[in-house]
Amino acid sequence: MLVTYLNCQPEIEPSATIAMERILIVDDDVDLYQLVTQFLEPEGFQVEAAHDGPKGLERAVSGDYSLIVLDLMLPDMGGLEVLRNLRLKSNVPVLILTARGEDIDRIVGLEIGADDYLPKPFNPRELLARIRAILRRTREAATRGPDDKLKVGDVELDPGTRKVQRAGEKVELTAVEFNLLEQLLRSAGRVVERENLAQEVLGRKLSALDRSLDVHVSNLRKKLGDRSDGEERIQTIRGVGYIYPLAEKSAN
Amino acid sequence: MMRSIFLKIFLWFWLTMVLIALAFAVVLNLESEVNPTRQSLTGDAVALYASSAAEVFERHGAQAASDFLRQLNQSSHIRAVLLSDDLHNLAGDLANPDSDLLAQAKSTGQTQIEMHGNFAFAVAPTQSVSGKRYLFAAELPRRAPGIFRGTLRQQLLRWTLAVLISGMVCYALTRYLTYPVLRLRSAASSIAAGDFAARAAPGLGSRRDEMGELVRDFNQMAERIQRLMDAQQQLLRDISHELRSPLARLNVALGLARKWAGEQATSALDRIEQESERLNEMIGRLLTLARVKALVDPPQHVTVSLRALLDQIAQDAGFEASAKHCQVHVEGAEDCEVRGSHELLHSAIENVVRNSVRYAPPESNIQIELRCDGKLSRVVVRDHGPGVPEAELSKIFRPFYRLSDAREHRSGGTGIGLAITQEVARLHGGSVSARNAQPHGLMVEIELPRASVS
Repeated sequence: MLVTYLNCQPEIEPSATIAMERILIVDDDVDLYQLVTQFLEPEGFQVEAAHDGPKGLERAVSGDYSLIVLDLMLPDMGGLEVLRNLRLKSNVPVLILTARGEDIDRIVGLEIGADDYLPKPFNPRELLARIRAILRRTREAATRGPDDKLKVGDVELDPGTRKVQRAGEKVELTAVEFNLLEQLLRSAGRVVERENLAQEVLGRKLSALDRSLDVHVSNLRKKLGDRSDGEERIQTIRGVGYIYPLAEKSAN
Repeated sequence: MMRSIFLKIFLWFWLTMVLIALAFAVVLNLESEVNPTRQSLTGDAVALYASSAAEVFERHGAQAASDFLRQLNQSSHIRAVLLSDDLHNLAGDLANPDSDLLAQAKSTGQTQIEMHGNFAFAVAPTQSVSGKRYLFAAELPRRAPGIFRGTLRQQLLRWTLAVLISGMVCYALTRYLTYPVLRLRSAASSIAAGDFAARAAPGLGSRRDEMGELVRDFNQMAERIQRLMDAQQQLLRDISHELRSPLARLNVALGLARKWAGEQATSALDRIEQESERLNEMIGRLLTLARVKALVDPPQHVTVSLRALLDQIAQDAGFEASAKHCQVHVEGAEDCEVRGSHELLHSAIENVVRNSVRYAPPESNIQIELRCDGKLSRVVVRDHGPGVPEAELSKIFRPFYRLSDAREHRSGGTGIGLAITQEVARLHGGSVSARNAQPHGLMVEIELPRASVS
């Protein structure tokens, strides 16, 4: 089973042993970390902690973890700052925790490249579900062969290695952005409903005001750039969902 | 528009200056006409010319007298004629000396002067050494006061210059006076708009007059407001963090307890979870209320379709209501749009609807009605619950207000929802009110200004 997914270190050997997934919690609340550890360990996770921003960043980029749980309110270096620096070096999945309950933190977090968010206080079952939803696809990757490649226009996505190329050049995507693109490419030319997309990509239902999916789509658009004919790669169908149009003839 | 005080002061100053200059010129002009000293001086001069002309005429003849008068004309622009006592022209040339004036001078024996436009006419009787009488009539160019002298072009140039220079002086003066006021105004409006870091031009603070003091005082006041606001925001963040941290631990511990505890603990754990959620909701609402109260303008300006918003809220609340076999309906086919924060408007209306669901008796309906009248949109939420005593209708929008018969407590609201609704409505330029419906039930009406149709 592939336990580590990191675009920055593609040469890492996929581990063949069945190991526990390692999760890093970056939060200054030591008690909370201990409780979460007690909750997650029986579920098959090995949990470690960093209690301030700089240490958290240092360990998050190490490539030892399958997922980072990052509290946005940290001493020394704010969580958003940690995330920004982390994304310069690594695409490791990040789940942010926000206690302020202000929308803006969460939106900015997603824009910088967080994979999902959870408001504090959270139900530990919810945390577990989110972690599993993000990791599910990276785990599935190991079972995919090179035949599963998806190609639409100049964009090529390989679910096996979890790499995306546009016109032969590598595009760096976060785990959720990759999952999102995969879903859209699989249904290229057809509308994918928001609810289905959220369920597939984030593993949950969206509440009325939750713009998480739209932020991910917007990040994906930016990273892929416009098509050569100037059309947007991902079009919004208002009130329904998104479509990845098939205008340029594609091979699949 | 912003500089209207500048314009007003400037124009008034300038107008005053030009008017004073004009008045001064007119007075000077009038004075020269009536000033007796000037008239007698002119009279004396004319009398002197008269006796000289008569003397020259007697001693050297008519030709010499004519030469003398010509010289006088050249040097002093005085055209004059010497007449004999019986009005025969003896020397010089003047078109038509005023006969009245001549007769008057002759009968009184005094020099007579009369003003005619740009000239003064003077007639002086004189007697030579030989005892012969003559009359001397002269036309004198009038010496106009300075500014009225010269050709039309010169005058125009002079006046233009005067107006321009006075304009410049007034501009500088007005700028000096109004600059601090304008800066104070822009700083004050920045602060009113929520930019608490704004200050009036600090350079003005060194001015040692009342304006400088005003600017210094203003900046000190702004400093204090900023500190208070920062402290309040910081406190809110701290409260949010400090209250939510134990709640977060509590929730995880609860999750663990559920794993480990036996069947009989389930209902107690459910209760703990419910109360913890309620506590969290209350913290969230308190923060929202405090945040919204500190705002003067919606944090966003997007166009929100009320119809879509109501459908969404009805759908979400309908799920909750279905537990009591209640239904939530949206009535009215119209749609109107409102500009502002989608999130805040959503929570404002949702709070009212949830409140209604809470008090609705089982198997009743909750109606949400949307009406668009002219510039206003109205959302009326009506339930068939017990309503509220008339005297307390306006008080239900106060935070944590408890009805006298303690219904609120029993049904488990946070007591902050309607207060948020009121603040959000205010923030969007609207209002909220409540009244009792017949035969029973509560109607809460939210009025919001519609987005202007462009």
